[in-house]
Amino acid sequence: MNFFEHQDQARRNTKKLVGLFILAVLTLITVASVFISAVVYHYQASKPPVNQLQASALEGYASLPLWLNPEIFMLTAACVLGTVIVGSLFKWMQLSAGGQAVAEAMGGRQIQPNTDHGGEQQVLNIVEEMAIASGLPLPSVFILDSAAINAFAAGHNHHDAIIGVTQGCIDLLDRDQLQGVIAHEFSHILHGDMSLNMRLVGVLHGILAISLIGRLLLHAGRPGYRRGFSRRRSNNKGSGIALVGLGLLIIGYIGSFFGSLIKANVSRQREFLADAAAVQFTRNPEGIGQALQKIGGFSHGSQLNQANTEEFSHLFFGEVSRFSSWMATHPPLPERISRILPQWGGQYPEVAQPVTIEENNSAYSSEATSQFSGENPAASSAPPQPTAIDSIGELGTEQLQKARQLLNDIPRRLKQAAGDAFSARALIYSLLMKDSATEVQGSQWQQLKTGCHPVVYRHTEQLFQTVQQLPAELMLPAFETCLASLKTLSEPQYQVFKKNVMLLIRADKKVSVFEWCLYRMLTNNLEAKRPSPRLIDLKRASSACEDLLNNVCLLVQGTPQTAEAAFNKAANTLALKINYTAQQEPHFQHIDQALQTLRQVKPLQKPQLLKALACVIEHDGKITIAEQELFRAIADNVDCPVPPLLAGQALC
Amino acid sequence: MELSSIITWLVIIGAVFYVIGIYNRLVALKNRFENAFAQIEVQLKRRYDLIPNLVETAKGYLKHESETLEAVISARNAAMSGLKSAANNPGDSASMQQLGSAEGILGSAMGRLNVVMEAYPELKANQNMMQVSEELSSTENKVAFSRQAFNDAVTAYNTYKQSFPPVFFANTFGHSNDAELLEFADSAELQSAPKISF
Repeated sequence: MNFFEHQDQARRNTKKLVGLFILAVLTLITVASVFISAVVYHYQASKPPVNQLQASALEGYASLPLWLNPEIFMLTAACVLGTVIVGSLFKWMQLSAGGQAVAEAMGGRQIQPNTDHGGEQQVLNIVEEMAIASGLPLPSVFILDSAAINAFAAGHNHHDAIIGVTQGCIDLLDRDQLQGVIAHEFSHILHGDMSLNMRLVGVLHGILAISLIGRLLLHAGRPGYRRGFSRRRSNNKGSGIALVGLGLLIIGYIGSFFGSLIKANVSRQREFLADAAAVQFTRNPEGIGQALQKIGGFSHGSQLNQANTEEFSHLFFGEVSRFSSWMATHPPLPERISRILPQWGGQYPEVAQPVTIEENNSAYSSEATSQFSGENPAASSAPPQPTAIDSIGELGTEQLQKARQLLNDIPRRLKQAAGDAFSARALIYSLLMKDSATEVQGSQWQQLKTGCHPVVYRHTEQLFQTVQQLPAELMLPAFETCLASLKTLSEPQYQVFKKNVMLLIRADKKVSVFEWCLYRMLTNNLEAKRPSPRLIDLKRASSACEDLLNNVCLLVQGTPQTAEAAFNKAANTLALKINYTAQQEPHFQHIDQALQTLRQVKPLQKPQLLKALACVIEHDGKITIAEQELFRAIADNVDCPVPPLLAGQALC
Repeated sequence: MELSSIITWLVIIGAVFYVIGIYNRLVALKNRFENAFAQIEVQLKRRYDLIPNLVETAKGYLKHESETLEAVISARNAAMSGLKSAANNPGDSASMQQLGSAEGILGSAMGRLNVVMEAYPELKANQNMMQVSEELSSTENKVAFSRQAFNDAVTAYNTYKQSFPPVFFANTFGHSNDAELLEFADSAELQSAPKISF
């Protein structure tokens, strides 16, 4: 299966999830209605019916068993359904803030991009490498203060994804093992599991809401409860409320039981997949295998006792709580390990809790010497090089090496600047001025002088020389390394920054490919967007395709003649009826609008679209760096992360 | 149960979730400014690590100014312990003020040192010295910047806490005190700088 098929499957799993959910809610309604009917009947049998309406209702259904009153049944059903819907919607709204909301709900602490702690720095480095190698935007990393070994990924889409690791992960795992764990989480991000999991959290919260209300009622109706509204009530009624509360609590527990079953059903298979993907990404089964073994051998294992973790249990790397095996959200540890390391003997290593948290920088030295393992020549004996579209969502040794090399090639000075929100802005300003003509640069400097703080201006001056010598290939990667620290800007700070970026881009009255890519990636990553749940068929998006291809043709082909030829070729591969329109110059706004529609195209049809795009770009037989960037940025906008292009790699 | 009781029921459920929502939002905003404080912490730590370097270099030239140097070092140590307690509970009024005043004392001690150093041109020309003071002033700007981000986050938290429905619940949920802004007596350069536009 490739990236698109995985995405498609995640979508189909959502349908399965909805089916199971409806089943669970129906069962709940039945149980709750029967229970409440019985309670009401019990109280009404002991006294005469209170009012006329109820009396007539009871008469009307005399043929049914008395305790199963259809009216009460309907009302209860409506209440339960209402509760579930309100509960789900509420959680859905809360989670719409994205992955960060999940991490914050669990008390996560964000790792600062310029942290001086060796272990934290190492995690950031690994995540950065993997992000660049897979073409994903850099996710923020959070730490959960727990000694256990565990990790999670959360978010609705690539742009608001975050990765969380426990302190135990940092303290107990070495670099290869940590890389295995992070690769597992990247697989969840890439394969669409993450957004599926977020939906799961929302839906299950609706079911759990019932037990929450049950607990509340039980508390309110307790005989000893002598406050507020319950004081005026007779003991009889109080115990009635308590009984209803108890019933709801039990029903709620039945609900959460169903919830766990659903979670287990949806999530367990995906864990095997993510383990396999982690091996594939790192080409190193030892790493993730040993990490799992350490969980087995460690007294804390992967169990977390943070608040709210149960709700998110299916997001994690390992089992969060000790459950019986058929409620577990993860497959049993031994089975996972033996699938990765078939020769494993079933022995767990002894893992002792670290006595003190090491603050030294040993991580740096291990980093320098860490060899990329799994480079055995037999396994990688010259397979045909996959094309860029084939490698979407895949991550191989070559991509990782390429990512490391790119990161290495970025001058140290720039990397330092990127690690800090203050100087990262200066870096981005200078990237935007780098390719301007001299007189435009003059006006850009002028704008900066009035638009930004004098110290940032001075920083920009200092960085500009280094940036000017930066090869074009490194410009976007250098920008990407800034994203993590830019995420720490406060809202007012971001607005000022964005205004300056706009001014610099507009200084020459036209937008270059690099400027567009930078601006798109910046806003996609720093401004939260709501996910679009509706999928559309490519055929219905043909006008958007037409718009996109028309503009891209004009951008990448010099003359109208070649542009038309390239367009027709692309139209042929798409098998859509779209027409070339002659334009004077490309409009980026049209590309933006088209991409908004194309984002919702069904996953299995996206490769077609990207192939058409590649066809246009490759029409003249060469791929410039600007074209590469354009391709990657467009693909990123339709949620397909393209890894950096390897030397001599074809697009399609 | 009648229609009215269903409606009552739904209203109760809605209200419960709304209150839970307030609780969660308060927690999220608090987390956010605590994370923002971590940014300041990183920068301040770097600053406190640089100061001994500066003093060490200056020592060789400023034989007769040991008082000034000692004042810098002790102010630095005081600020460092202030940072430690502030990092444990960012937003707490007492520790924010402690850190703020410790930073203010450190700032003025550094200012005096700078004035003294004016009299020693060969010290100012020292390569090592130039490097350290450049790094120091760059760190100071970063501190000011992350402090701004922190104060923005604190303001967002306080505003939400004091806004209409949350104001009734904030106390119950353990968010009784407003978080404190972190104010330093800033160095001259930053004060003379134009407002906002960071």
